[in-house]
Amino acid sequence: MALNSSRRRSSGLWAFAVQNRLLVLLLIVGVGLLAVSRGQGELTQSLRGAVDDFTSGAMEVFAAPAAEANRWIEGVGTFLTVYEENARLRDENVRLRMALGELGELQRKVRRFEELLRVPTEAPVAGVAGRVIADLSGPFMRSMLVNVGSAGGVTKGQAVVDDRGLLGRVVGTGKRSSRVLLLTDFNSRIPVIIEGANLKAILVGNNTDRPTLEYLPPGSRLTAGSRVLTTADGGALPPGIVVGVVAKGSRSPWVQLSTSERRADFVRILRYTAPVDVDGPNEAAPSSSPSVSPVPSSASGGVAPAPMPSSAPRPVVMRLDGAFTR
Amino acid sequence: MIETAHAAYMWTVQFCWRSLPFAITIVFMLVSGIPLNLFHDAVPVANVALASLFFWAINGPSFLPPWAVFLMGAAQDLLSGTPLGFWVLVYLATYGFTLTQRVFFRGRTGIGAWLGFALVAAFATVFAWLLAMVLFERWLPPGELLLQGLVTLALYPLFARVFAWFRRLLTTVPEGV
Repeated sequence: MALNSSRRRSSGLWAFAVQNRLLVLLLIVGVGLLAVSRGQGELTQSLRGAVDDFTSGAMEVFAAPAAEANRWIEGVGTFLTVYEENARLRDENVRLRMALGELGELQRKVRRFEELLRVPTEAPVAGVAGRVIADLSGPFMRSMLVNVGSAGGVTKGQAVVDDRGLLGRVVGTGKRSSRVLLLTDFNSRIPVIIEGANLKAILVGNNTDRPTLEYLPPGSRLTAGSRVLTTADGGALPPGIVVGVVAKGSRSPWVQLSTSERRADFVRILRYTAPVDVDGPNEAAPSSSPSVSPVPSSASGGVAPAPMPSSAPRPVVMRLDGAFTR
Repeated sequence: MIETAHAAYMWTVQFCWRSLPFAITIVFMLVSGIPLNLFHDAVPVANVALASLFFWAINGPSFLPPWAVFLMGAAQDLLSGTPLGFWVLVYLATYGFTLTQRVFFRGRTGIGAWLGFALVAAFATVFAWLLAMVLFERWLPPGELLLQGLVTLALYPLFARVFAWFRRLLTTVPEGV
């Protein structure tokens, strides 16, 4: 009896497959496509770039009206809390004025110390500005499309920031568009440092608005509210960009991000090149000639460190720009 | 020669005419990518392709043949950044599943069609979730996918009205087409 019903079911499935041969064929093609794109991701990159270029052309038409609509929606939301917001901003203004005075004093001190220690001059990180034209976040991927591409000098891996902090990294470029993988995507891994505690960790996206801090040294103690900044570890990102603040989680600490794709309108893609110091064959012997030490050694009687040789390539270090390090 | 050219012209016109549901779905998919900060992004964007493939699989599969579903999946993959073939498989499997259920839901409107879509949306959500976990080799929280399924289910009557309007347009064939 059971055998008969299972036979009937399988014959029904066979009849359906025969009737829908094209569907079955395309399902097989789909499986093949998935296997190829999983194994040879680079093959689909150029196709993705071309589609992004086409999409960006279409989406750019809607980008400006969408930004205006967003401003209206935000305006309606803030209208209801305008008095509370005003009081909060006044308080914040007083605190910021006080902090500004301290900041000026600290900047003078830091400049003086840098001169004394002969810290190499910092060069600002160049960047290119672009507009967010599509929010392509879905249940499995969190990304967005920006209307600057390889023609504007954008390359894979570059950091994308807005006026509040880091948004993500470029994972693909077309000629006129770039795809940005957001920090919240579960494929995102960013080396970060926790200010104050000076602990390094990896910020791991998990497709929620609460990316977690992983690979912390054992026994680390974190304070909720400590700022999380990027580090130059791995040479992928400029150091010192604000990512967010530490928040207490039930399992592992997570980061309250300082910005998100829903706030982003215009962004800046940073063209950062990590300082790479490669010694020439003649300079390779460290015992014969001491390398440039940034800190004067007390053991050597406070001798000032050797100046940077003028012929040596100057390392590029990001200047902590106020816009990104509030 | 002239007859052949005329036949080719007619075939092209008919092909374009019959591809209208596919074209409309692609336009809707693009529009859903506009960065609008509605509900502070607490609510995910509805899966318009899923609503489209259910409607047309029930109310006229000839207007949305398997190749169109394949292209819709490929477009979704390329737009959303998932590996090429992921949404292709999800949509084709869901389309096949809907065709097997067609006898029960054909001609139904209102709550009947809605219940049918709920069944198909549940199938697509579970299939996509399982496939993603196999593909990405990790546990994925199903919350956002479920929420997207619910949003799509809630908005289905609205999509169905738009598609029904197009179906009326398509079935009242203009002279020459």
